[in-house]
Amino acid sequence: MKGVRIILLCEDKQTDSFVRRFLKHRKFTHRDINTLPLPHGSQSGEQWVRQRYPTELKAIRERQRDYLLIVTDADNRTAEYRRQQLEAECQRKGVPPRTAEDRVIIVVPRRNIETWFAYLDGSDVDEQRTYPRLTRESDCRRHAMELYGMCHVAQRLRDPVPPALVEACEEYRKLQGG
Amino acid sequence: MLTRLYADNFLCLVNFELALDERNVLLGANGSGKTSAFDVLRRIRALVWRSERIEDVFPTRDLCLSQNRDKQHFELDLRIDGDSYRYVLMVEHIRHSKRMRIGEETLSHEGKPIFEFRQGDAQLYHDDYEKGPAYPFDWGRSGIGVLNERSDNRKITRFRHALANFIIASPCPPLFESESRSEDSRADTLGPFLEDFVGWYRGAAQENMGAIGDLFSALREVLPGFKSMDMVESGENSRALKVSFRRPDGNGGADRLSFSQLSDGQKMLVALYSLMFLAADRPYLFLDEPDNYLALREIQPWLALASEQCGDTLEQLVLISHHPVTIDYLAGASGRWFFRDGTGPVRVSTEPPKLKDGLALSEIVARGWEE
Repeated sequence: MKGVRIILLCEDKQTDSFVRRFLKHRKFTHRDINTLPLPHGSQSGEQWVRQRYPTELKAIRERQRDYLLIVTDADNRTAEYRRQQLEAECQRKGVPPRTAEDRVIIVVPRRNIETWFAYLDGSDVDEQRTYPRLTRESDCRRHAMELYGMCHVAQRLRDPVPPALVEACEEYRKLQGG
Repeated sequence: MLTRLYADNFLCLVNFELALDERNVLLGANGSGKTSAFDVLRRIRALVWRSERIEDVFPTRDLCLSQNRDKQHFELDLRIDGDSYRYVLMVEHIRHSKRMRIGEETLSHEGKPIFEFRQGDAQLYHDDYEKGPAYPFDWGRSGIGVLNERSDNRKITRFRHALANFIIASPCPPLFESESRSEDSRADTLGPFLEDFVGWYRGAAQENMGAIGDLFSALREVLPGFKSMDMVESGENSRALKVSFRRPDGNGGADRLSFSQLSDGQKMLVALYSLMFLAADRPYLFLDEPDNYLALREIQPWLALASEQCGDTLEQLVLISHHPVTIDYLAGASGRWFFRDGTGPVRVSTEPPKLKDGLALSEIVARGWEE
């Protein structure tokens, strides 16, 4: 039986729904993706992703063809800062940090996924501003399709593009198959 | 979408209110009233859509044992194509004679009445809310259920069709029939345990042939070797569901199995994926423990698919579950937590249980730490 090909570690259900819809365009099915559910508590989604990351990084290195996909919001920090935090967590737990050979994709929306939704709806966005949540989780269907069109099909993002999305599309190119 | 259910004096439900979203998972201890909430919907559908008589639908034995009242009260709030509907039903029981009747049945649209029945008299309203005919009516049946569709009562019939689209079931694969004499794809023909799935499939596959390819593709992923399914004649008007699997020898041959020869888990996968791909008219899906028979590997993919289809091909998803995978995947954002003290009334909270940092929700539930 075919195993999971992408382990998705993200902060909330909206991001899970968006990523799955995006990857569906790439012909990844729901069975190809396993989302690690966020435990509840005072712990934030970001904290959960960061703390779980070293364990999953270690596990994915044992797999020859599977991917670990991390999606964590920059919030009021930078994408680079979040990546450094993830590396620091690996060091703290004695796990060698990510290398170019690792099949690990780290996507950091700034300020968060709603910033990208506003951009994909055609707005010029400010990465430091807060944008409203979608009314319905399933409304992200159009955003997934739009991003797939820009990032995968045309390989060109509309200007002015939020810098975090440029970095995300670069990371995304590591993903093979589908 | 069913946005609210209210029930009073029915089984364990006393002054019980449940608010629902597009996707929901009902959680709580055994006996906390989750299935009773589904039961209310099933019975109202039987009364209004199937025009069954009140004594067959709400017998006196289902009055709440802790109450000494003779009236039951039910309300459904629905949002259909953006419009709000409220259905109210009052059932009066005369205990000594074990008789019961409908004391009141009303339906309103955007807060304005479109049908009223009180104490034996019915008042119909046109779609423009103008009063229509008033007439005496049977105390034992739904006045909405017997109305024929006309050009000036489309609001009423839209509500009734929405009820018809409720799939309410506690799927139990050992009870699934493998043959069917009918081919009826209406939601209410599936049976309370999905036992008539094959008859439903027979009709749904005919009506939605374009989706068969997608269904088979999905089943090829979850059932190793799956090739196709077809209905074959098995008697007068009777058809049996056969499932073909590729032979492992790689010579291109196939083994054609009767549906009854599949394992319970395989039957469940076939049924759950068929509902996703073949159900027409955006059904409201109320499933009691659909994860029961599934392998661990199969639960999240089906939940993700059902979740994705909400608001698209599915009008609404309401699951009852005790399964850790379902709890962890859906309950954080979509949980409805049922609580009940002994035989006392049922309470529902939309908030996740008392939180414990870093513990999965299912782990909190397993330890009984949610209260």
